[in-house]
Amino acid sequence: MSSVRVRTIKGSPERSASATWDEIARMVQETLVPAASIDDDDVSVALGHLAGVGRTLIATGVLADEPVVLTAPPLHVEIYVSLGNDALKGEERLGKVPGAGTASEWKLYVPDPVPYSAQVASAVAQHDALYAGAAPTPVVGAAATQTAVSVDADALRRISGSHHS
Amino acid sequence: MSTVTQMRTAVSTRTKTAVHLTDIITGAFSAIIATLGLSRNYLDKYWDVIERGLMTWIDEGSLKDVCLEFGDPDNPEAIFEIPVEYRFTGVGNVDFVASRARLLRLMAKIEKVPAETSYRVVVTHHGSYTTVSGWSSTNSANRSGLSSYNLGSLGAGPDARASMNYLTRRS
Repeated sequence: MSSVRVRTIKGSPERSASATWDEIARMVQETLVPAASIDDDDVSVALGHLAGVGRTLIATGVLADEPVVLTAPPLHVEIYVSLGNDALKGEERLGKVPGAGTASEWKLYVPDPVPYSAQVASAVAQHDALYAGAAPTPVVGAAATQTAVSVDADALRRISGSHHS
Repeated sequence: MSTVTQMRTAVSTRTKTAVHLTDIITGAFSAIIATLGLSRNYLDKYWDVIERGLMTWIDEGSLKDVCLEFGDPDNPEAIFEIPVEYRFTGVGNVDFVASRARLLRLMAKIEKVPAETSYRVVVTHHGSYTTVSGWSSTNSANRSGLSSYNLGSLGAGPDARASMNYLTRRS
């Protein structure tokens, strides 16, 4: 069973780009803590390579439209950042996303639109778990018993509402 | 009682406006540097300092403008100037807007600068201002020989708004 989760973190005017990136990093780190075979220090090192370009992708509005995606099978988490008036609406769920306890590997996909492609490529090249561009669509098995996909409430809210700044 | 409520609202929106405009300005600088294909080392090294300074000074209303200057300050390649205008009502329309997509389209029109061109962020103030660690005194770049183009609004909050001017050697 694949578990698709969507989280939207409030950026400016609620948080600066730096504070917002810190929340993204904390969410990724806390989500992967329960996975015994994933090294927390390695996750921290990888996220450190993304801090600069991560803040840029927040401040330029890229993450309002394209998510950072954490995959730690069976968990798939899409992390967006709301900006402007959108950031003033509703509640947000920060920190750990449940479902990665059995994960043995993890990958983080970082959007790389023009003109930031080269900067993102340079950042993700510094760690094997980092990738530039969109994440693969979560795999859904053919057998009925394997096709269940859980989608959380944030995902449904996102589908029904705008997330543009 | 109602007076207290209004004051809290004003403080809250002023601070939010400062965060919002700081985000827009650092985002604009990021877009310009990426478009020009320059190293982001300076931006990464000083991001926290820049962010903290702009938020502090917009919040207190002392930031007059912030510039991204390229090349030798005595003979710069280009300057992006962002003036900040304030509205001191505190009861204005609570709306936070940004023109990020429009800015990105304008980036296609800016002149390239030589590879490895250095850049720096320089601010000017209205009157007295809070000292922010990491910032030091300097002189603004020499603008003689530069042509100025108004690129319009970058964004606005309830208490202030920011626009952008582009100064270049293109005639």
